[in-house]
Amino acid sequence: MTGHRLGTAFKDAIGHLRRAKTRHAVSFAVLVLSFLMAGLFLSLSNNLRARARALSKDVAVVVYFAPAASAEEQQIAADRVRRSPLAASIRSVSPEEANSAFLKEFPDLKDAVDNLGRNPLPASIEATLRDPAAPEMSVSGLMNELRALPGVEDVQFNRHWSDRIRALGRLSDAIGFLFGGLLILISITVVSGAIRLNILGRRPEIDILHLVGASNGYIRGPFLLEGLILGAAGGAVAAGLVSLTARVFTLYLGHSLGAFQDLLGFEPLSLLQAAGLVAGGGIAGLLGSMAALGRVFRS
Amino acid sequence: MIEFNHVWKQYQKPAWALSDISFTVNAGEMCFITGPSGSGKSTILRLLTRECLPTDGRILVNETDIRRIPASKVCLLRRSMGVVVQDFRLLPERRIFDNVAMPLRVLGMPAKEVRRKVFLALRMVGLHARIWNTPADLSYGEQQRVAIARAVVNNPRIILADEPTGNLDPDLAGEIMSLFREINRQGTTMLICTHDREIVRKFAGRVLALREGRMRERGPSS
Repeated sequence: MTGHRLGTAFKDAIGHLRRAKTRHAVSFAVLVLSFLMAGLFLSLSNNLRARARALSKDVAVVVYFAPAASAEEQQIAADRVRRSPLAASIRSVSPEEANSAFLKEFPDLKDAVDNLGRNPLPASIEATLRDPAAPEMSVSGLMNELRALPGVEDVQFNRHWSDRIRALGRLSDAIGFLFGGLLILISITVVSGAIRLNILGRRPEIDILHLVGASNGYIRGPFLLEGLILGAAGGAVAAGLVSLTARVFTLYLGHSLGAFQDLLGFEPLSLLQAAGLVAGGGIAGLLGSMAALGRVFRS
Repeated sequence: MIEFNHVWKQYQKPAWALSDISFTVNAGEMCFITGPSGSGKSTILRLLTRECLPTDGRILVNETDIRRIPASKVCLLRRSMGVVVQDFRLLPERRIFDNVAMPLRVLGMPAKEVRRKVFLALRMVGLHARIWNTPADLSYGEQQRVAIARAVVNNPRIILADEPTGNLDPDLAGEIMSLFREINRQGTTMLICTHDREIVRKFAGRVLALREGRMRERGPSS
């Protein structure tokens, strides 16, 4: 299609959109809703992935001591960790240091801690690993050895948390794809219906165009563009709404979630993801147009 | 220019819309196909524009067998023809200019050239002053003249007309036929289907009479 013909087709497509406003408004709303749903889950999983990344930056084996553990028992455990080739550095955390770090992270819970009348957090040692991606087996071996030592109450490996959060991110992606995909399928059907009605409404014009020698491309072009424009605009509005939600949520709603704010927050979409929503919208609109054209012209 | 060679057409069994039709229309000729409704006149035009294919036989247009034209190239065949129909087929919400410009826009002609050609075509049918009106502002006769302007605007070598005077009173019908005669004098081949034998008698041209899908008589109109 030459530039001139593309320009004509574009003008025709805009004309179609203007003529059937209500029909197209419904298709547009469904498109926006579908891509908004997909975009929100994407934004949620962006946030979960960011949290997982932050956690995995300081992968450490943490040894928690029983309240009655003696200084000697703590020293034995620390020595065992130091001897391990897996450990890069080791840091002892007193109950007071643990308490103040906890309150810094979760200031809302200060009253609850104060009401206990004592510091509930145990002393611990944190051993960072030389290789954050060290094999699970070798880390487990060290952890089992440490658990068997006297005075040790629990041993945790915080890479498990980042793995769990990553898994949550993947789950969010999957839910987004499932719901979003389902809604996108519905939106393709709705766009197809709207454009089909448009084609039927313009049947006399199409008959004349056939009569005067218009090619199929000339006749179909504006309808395809119509779907493409509608879909891309729907995707763009959805991307905008996701960005807005990410900002508004943090400002107004995020704080009410307290400790869960980190996990249930929305991270703004990257430029590539936003472009993906716009392109996805365009493709959905185009598929809707193609389905409508196929059905009408076959009959 | 147009050649039908033992053409048969059947839409649904057992009736034949056309049975063994053969005729030739030479370049620059004005030819009438007459016959009552259902005699097969419109089928001949539908075959020529390749809206349908013959069941048997051969149809040549400009020495090309239309059956051999691939579906994607049928538009090129139609661009070599101008078609005028009984119900005008104008778009009521578009201006006269836009209606006449359709065949030129399909060709991707530049806007300036489109304006020039549309004006010339409308001047030929005497409606250049109504260029910005819509079809609803015009009488039936004027609307048919607009349809004729649309048919001739890209200078086709052949004009096909299907009952072009069917909706018009005798005076207006005479006007339209005079216009066709004028277009024919400029070298355009005309094939006009009509059931109105009075019109045919008034205008010199070859007549092919159809009845129930068969050719009944051939010869010049009296």
